[in-house]
Amino acid sequence: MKWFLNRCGRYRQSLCLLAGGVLSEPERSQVENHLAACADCRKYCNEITKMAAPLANWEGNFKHIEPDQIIRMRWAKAVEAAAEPAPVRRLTPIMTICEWWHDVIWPCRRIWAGLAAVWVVILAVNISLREQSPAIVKSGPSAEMMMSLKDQQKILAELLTDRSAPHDAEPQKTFSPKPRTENMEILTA
Amino acid sequence: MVITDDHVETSAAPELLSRARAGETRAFCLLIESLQTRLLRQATALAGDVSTAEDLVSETLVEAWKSLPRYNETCRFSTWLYAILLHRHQKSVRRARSRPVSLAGLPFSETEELHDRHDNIAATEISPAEAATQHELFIELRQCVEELPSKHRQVVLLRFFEDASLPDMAAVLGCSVGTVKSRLHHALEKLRKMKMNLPDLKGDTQI
Repeated sequence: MKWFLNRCGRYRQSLCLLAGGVLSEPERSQVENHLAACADCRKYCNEITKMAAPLANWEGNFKHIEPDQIIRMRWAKAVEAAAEPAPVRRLTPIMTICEWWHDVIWPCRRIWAGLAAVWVVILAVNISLREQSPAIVKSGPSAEMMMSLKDQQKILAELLTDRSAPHDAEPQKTFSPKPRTENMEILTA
Repeated sequence: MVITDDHVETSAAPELLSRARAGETRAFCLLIESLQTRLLRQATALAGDVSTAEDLVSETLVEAWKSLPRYNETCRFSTWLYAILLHRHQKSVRRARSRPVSLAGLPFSETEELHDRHDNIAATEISPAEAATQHELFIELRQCVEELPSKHRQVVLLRFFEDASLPDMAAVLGCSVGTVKSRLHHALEKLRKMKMNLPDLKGDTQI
């Protein structure tokens, strides 16, 4: 629907390609027909073409730059040096890690950003976990815990009442020393 | 967008290429000889000053020599070289960002390069004032290109600095022609918007 309402939109890519000089011949004639009829697209095309003109004619700004013979020789020597077999360099694991660190990790900002993001996530998780524990304390014990506590209190109360009440059913055992021998009976008598 | 030094696509080029692939550095040097001027200009346009550009070209040629077995001829040799140049430039920019900034390393500053250019303006056909204006416009637009996302910047640089065709760009970037078209469209659209926001250039866009 959006495409239908904005019919010029589908020509915009072609206009950019036209300004870039890479539009194919059949497309070019189609776009030129549209340009003849549409003032907005004509204006857009002029803007893009004028904007890209300094880029298209970039080499005119550097016409004076020519590599001299010394530079050409230097480049040729660099290539020849690269062509020679390099001396075998024994790299220890630590040296390899150092080179990898220096060439890959250190210059890449995205890796540092990623590491920082990981640390932030760890910190956030830690803080959120710490904040949960006081909340549990503040909310108080659950209903189940209260029920079990009440049960325990009942049991304790029963035990206490049992201990304090007199035991009528059980007769009190009185101490009656028995004579161990006959002689002892006589003695007691 | 006229290719002035692109004589590589001649009849001798395939033979030189095969000899270079066989390990003959002399053949490689002959192969790149006609491309060196353009490559240096491209590097200067990227880096901003000639001495950095010379080093950049040297690195590019060494890299090209090492990667020559991987060149599969799906694009022009000059486009392939330019893709390596772009890659080397990006790498050097990334390294420079991690180091302290020096004034000499700033791209397109009013350094000796610009003064050299003004000295050489007399040698060109256009008037010095016109040439200076053109150069300023180019520098402003180049800075806008630097602000583009990498995938858009690559397409713009390949198209305008290397005059690469759509299939060549697709081969170098490893994507489809449709993707290249889309990226070029978005890149130019972004550049147009960026340039319209520049206060001193607003008058240029009002047609």
